[in-house]
Amino acid sequence: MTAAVTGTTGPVRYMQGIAVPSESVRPPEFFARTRRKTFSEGSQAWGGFGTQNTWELKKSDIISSAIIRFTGSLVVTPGSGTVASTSRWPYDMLKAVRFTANGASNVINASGLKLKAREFMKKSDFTDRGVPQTVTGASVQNGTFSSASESWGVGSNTSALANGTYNVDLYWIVPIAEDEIDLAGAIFAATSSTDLTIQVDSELASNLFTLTGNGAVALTGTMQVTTVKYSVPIGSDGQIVVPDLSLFHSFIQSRTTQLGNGEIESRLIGQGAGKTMLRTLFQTWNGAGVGSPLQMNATNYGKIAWRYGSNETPDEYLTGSHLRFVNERMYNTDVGGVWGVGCIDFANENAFRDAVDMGTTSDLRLVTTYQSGLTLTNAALEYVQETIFQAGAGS
Amino acid sequence: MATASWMSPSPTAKYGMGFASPSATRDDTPLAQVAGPAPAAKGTTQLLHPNNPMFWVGALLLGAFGLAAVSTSVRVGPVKVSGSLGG
Repeated sequence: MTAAVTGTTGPVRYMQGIAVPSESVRPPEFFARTRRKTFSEGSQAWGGFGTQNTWELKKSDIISSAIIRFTGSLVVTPGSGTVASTSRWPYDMLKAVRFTANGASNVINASGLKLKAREFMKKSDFTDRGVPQTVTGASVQNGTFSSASESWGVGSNTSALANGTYNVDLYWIVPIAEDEIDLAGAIFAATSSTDLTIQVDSELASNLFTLTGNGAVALTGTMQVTTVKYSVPIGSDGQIVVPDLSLFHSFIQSRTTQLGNGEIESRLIGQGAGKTMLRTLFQTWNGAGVGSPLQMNATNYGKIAWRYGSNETPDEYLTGSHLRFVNERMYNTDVGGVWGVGCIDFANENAFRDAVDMGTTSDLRLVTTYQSGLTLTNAALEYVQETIFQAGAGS
Repeated sequence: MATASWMSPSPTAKYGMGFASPSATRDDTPLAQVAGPAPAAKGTTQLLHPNNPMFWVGALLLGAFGLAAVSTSVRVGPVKVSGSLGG
């Protein structure tokens, strides 16, 4: 008689919805044995303004981040009219970048500029200081979020663009893992049941450029996505070895137009037990048409804070200038100067000490105060919550 | 031989209490001391304790009406049997 072949059913741990043998979770051995890979997910012709490009990521390894690159040429033809860029150019050319992982829909969902801001917030040794770019017709060397290796083609929010063909080369980082060093929030992709998608929505031409007369712009180019992955090694016992992949990292943008002069409380959504907020960053877009971000200063903003419960207000920044200084000190980048980004950061210095447990802080709100002398026109607050949570707690 | 090792922190060690197991659900956690009745008055919370006024109200009601309810009679043809306890 031959013995029946039976499968072994050892204890398993569920990591991001995928069963992994418990004994395979050995972070020290994983980091000793894994191999980093920078991997092309493919290059696509850019679909054009207002279109969508989608990448289904290859099912292998453990993914920690993705880089989206746009490279192309911008042809400006004013003719007898004019061509001007808006403040959405260049980084909000990506109106929304969405990353979907293993049933947790849209763990990343934010515009291009917010992704750039996050990169400077996470990597405080990465700075844009000394990289000249044109903003509102003037050369600026601080706070543009530009790297020297990038090319904007034409300035941001700049009028009377000259006739010509300009090279455009832009990069955005999609922060799949919260931390690229210890891979917290990285995604296990080495299974056919995985569904990992990056979807890029491009902004409408009318929100990037303002044309008069017979002025015209044409942008053509390609988009590339590369991912940084780590191999899943085989351990000394013959089993696969993985790090702790029980977390999801989430970066979600919201928008509200419920604004007015004075103190405004905006609800921070998606609250729940097991979720931890790492930072919340925001911009206020104001003005006719597309508008521009309000600079983070005392003329525009009064008190900025976060609040929970009935009136618990742990951090209060006196004015926009105060928060701008605090942010610049944290990030070594003036995030509030050009793009008007402010951030209440709970992870930059010491996440263990400062991160907000969203299970014990009910009714979380972001508090912004718009000064009485400020004229609000089509004002919209765009704010992003960066959280980390146990897979299964929801996104 | 020592093996090369680099320890990554656990989620709790890195991100704090949001990842700690919720202590609020432990059912063996004693209640916090709060202001309340003196220990001598503890018996008043038990219904069948002589210190509880409701115990004596119950006894009075039982004496007045309870035993009366036991009283009954049975009639079968010309024979009548009756029994009564108490009132």
